[in-house]
Amino acid sequence: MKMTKLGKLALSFSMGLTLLAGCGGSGGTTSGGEVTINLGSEPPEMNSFLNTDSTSGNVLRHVIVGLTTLDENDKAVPGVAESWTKSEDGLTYTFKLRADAKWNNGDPVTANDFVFAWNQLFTTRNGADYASTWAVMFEGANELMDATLPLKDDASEEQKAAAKEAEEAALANVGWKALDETTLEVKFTGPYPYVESVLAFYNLAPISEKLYNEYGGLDTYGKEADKMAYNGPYTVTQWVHEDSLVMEKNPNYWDASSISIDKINCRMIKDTGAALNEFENGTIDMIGLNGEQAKNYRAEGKNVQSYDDGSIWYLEFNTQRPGMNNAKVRKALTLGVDVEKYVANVVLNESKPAQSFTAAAVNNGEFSNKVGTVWNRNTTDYSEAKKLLEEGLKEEGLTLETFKPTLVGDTGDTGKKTYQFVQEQLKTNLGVTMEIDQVEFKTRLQRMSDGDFDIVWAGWSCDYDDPMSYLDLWITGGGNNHGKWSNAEYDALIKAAYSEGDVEKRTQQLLDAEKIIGEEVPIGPMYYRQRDFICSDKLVGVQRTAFRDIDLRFASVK
Amino acid sequence: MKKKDKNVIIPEVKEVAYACDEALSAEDFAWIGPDVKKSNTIVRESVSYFKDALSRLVQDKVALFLLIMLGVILFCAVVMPLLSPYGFDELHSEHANMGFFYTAPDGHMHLFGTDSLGGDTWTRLWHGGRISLTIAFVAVGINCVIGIIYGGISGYFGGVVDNIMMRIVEIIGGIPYLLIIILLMTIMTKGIGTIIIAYALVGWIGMARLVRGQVIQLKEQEFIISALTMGASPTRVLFKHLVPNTLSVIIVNLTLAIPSAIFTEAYLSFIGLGVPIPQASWGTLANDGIVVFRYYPEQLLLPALLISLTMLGFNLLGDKLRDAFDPKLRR
Repeated sequence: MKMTKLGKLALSFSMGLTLLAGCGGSGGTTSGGEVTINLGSEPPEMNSFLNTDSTSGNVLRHVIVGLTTLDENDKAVPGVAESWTKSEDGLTYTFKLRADAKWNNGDPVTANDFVFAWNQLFTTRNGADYASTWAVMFEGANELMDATLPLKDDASEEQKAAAKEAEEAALANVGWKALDETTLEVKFTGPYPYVESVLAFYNLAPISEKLYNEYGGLDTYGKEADKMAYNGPYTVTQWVHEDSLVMEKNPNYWDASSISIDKINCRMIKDTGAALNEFENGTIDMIGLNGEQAKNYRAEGKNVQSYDDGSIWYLEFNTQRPGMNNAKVRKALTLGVDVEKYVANVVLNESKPAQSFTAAAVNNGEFSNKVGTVWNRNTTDYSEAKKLLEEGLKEEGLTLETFKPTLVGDTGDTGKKTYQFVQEQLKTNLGVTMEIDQVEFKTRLQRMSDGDFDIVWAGWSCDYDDPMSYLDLWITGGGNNHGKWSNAEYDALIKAAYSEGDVEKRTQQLLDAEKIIGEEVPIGPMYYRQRDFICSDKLVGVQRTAFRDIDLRFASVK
Repeated sequence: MKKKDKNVIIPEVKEVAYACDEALSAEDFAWIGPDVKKSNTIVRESVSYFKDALSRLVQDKVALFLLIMLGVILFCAVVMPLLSPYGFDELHSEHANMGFFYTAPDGHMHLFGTDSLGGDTWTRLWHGGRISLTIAFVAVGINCVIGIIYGGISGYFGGVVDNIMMRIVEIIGGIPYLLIIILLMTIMTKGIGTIIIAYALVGWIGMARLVRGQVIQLKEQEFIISALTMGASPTRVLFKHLVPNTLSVIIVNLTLAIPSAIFTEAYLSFIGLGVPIPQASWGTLANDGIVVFRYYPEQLLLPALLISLTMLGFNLLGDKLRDAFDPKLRR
């Protein structure tokens, strides 16, 4: 996996919970079905196969549809695919596409549009950050990625020709094929139970080759409102960068009658205070709230809503650094923070202390229930944690005086409060002097990739409805395994679970993997995040979940 | 400017009859002694220039008030964190965001309440004062030293030396100050030291220009010529004769530079380039306060008030000092 998911979370975190959206009739008067929402920031990447962040995702959710789409209950339901059949071994899927699926210019959405989009996604030189995440699942995707590495500038003609040949060979062997205009056959590398859920992800959405080239290809596709094709409930009709974006109902959408709101105006207000003012003035009808705002609105008896955004926040330890290479030290640092106090007094909402790595957002919490409590936190007596720390440090030839880790975190107020709290906790409870290094978001990502940190405060949220979305993070050599933690047993369990068809067995493998995280503590889980938002009285039916950060497809104006 | 009174002995001429053809002899003159009466009626005590300026400063009620106010702020910044029962990095997160005189269930009281993590506002305010004032004084001090030496040399030697040195100053002055600081911050670890260095790197050019101008003006005067004639070395002339004569200008400029340094620190902290947590300066406190301004305005207003008072104090004091040092106003 690439670091971008983390990036997206970190970004939203660094901006202090501002990536929430709002919607409602502008100026307090509802003109038909028009609403205004706040995206919080400019969508950075609207080209669906390049997309990695949730802000763009919030727009893409409304304007494009993949083979499947997520319904009100986050279940994958038919999207462009009308129906599908699965081979007995669960490896081959045959999708039948709807005949009435159309692009906004009237062209039909065909099986070739999927083939084209996926070819682009797995072409390494296009630079899709998520490609390696999905490549594991698709037959021939890894081979295509290897064959499409960017050529060096000084490559000779023969090298170019050889590369082209390899690419063509890889393309011929990929596991996705258009059998005819409306039939798509896809071969997977294992009997993944979450295939349908993955197919709803934007990266795997169709792209019309004709329109893609017409709009300028990789360089310009998705950069402007009129440089992109839409097959979803809405189309983007106006996009003023860093300011606003307008989505209007797509008349060519096959299920247009189910969409209630005609026009969605998106604002890009970063400052939560400014957004709150607009909300109170009635110019925005739904805003995200930070802890303090939510607390005060709740106290006033307003209808503050909250949702689990599926993210878990944790301390990522660099296991290559002295001290941090010892599991006892890592565990002690994890247990040395009173997370309950943190959630109650700093986060100030319904967020929950983490009991395991996999958040309850996936599998309706069934998996995390099975895992149960991996870390028994004793919040009144830290002598045990301190003993553990001292033991661990002794094993590494360190003492509390020489062990001075630095926590790398993002700039921004919410982060600052968090780091200050953790710092104080470790000092009070364990006697550890920890320094804080607040850096720009991009710098932090760079430092994580370079392994230039002792501890990082980081977060992860799920991409699809399966514990694997979290657990395969820590396999040896994983793109997001920045702490370079390596455990052969863990790797074996995850690899086995990839191709395990038996649900019971697979679950057991993942449970065992979770147990290893509990013992070895490559990361110190802190809490599962809940986010708060508030809607005006006019707007009803907005859905926000871990998989659908903002979803207005089922909303309506009262 | 009045002439200084000297105890001059004026002999009284006795009525002596003398003939023109008689030569004057020693007997014709007599020692009459000092006139005790007159010598005791001195109009004004002889005072030095600085003493005079200072006395005029404290006679000004506004200036006196400012001095006292700044003194109190300084005193509090030094003493209050020591007296407080709470550490500046001590968090009571179970009672965060409390108002003035909040008393916890177990009886301990927070004079100015607590901040959003439950830190004691009173302690953090004065701790922040320490940091802000330290940065201001040290940075301005460094600026002053560099500026005096650089400007002095440039002004005294003149010619090519002056030309080159002043062009360097202009180049440094041409680079946006904030840019330098942000670049520095990326390569240096965050902290008081970095802020001071960042400020001192570019802050001295104003002082250098000022001193240069003064030195150029003074170096043509007679006392310098006489010093040179007597073989004084350039160093001696510069630092014994020229610089002391520019001191009044330097002091006024210093006083005005301090608020600008305080504000720069606050500004840097406010945009997130300030001291690292858990340290606090007035700027970072204000930055923290603005997040919860809507609900707990005092968290922004208190540090802002202290910043304002200190800046106002130093600015006005600078004005008053300028008046006090003005030789034309000397009595």
